Amino acid sequence: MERIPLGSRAAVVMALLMILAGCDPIASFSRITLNKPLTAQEAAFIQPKTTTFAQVVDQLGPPNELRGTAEGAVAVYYFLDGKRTRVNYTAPAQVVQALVPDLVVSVWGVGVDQLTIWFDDRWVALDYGFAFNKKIGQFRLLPAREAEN
Amino acid sequence: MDRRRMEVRAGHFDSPAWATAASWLLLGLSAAMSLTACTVVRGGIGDEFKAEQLATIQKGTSTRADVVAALGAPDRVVEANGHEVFQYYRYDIKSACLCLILLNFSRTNIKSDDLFVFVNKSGIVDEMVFGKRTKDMEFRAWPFGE
Repeated sequence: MERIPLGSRAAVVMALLMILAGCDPIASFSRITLNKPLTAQEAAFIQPKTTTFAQVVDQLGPPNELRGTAEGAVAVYYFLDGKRTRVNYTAPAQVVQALVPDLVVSVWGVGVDQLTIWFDDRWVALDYGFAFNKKIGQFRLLPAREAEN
Repeated sequence: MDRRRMEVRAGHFDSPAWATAASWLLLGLSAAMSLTACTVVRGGIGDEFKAEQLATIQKGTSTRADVVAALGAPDRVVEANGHEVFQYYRYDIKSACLCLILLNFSRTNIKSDDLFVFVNKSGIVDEMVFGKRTKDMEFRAWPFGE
């Protein structure tokens, strides 16, 4: 079997990379995160009618939003974890045959979560709750497939 | 036909040293091309809170005017529990992309610093709450994991 010179191999590799450089990537994985996601465990220290606003701030930092209510106030912590998967399933075939059309499948999942804590007029916690959308924020290769729990 | 041309025809050409070096350089360039577009982006909303600015605000003595003189007008004013609450916020955004030829990985992190100043009905600062979430934020391109 004939040995292909190193220079030729290098030229072939370079040419292939230059061709591919003009293509879309086969797959992209992107993620966007807002603040540190809070968990139920991290908020478990909040005891209604006991925990104060100062204690909440000590543990979780200041809220992202504070609003006045008829009973007192509401503190809201926002956090988000968004994931995007984009796959061009025909990209490998385009290396051989440039006329093969794209088959791009892109799945976005943005879970905007929030922790809301209600306080009375003395800044003592009354209640708290999460709005969780975590299962939406997953990397998925097919849009038809439901996010897993 | 000389010996050199005969070797080329037979596919047994022995490259001189300069050609081997050039080939390796070409292969190195090819490898470098696979890292064609690594990007790092930084953005933000609002100015950073400086310690000396915050130090000028004293609980029990500073007035609403002192707060505004030190920090400017608040981004948001809320009334809660008999207090006027001034909120100042700042967002820091760090984004990195490892853009390989066949695969792209990118990650964007956004964090906020929030400052709340509680002003009582007499216009005096009762409390101040500040948190700096942005201090540990890093540029990361790898989107998986925590």
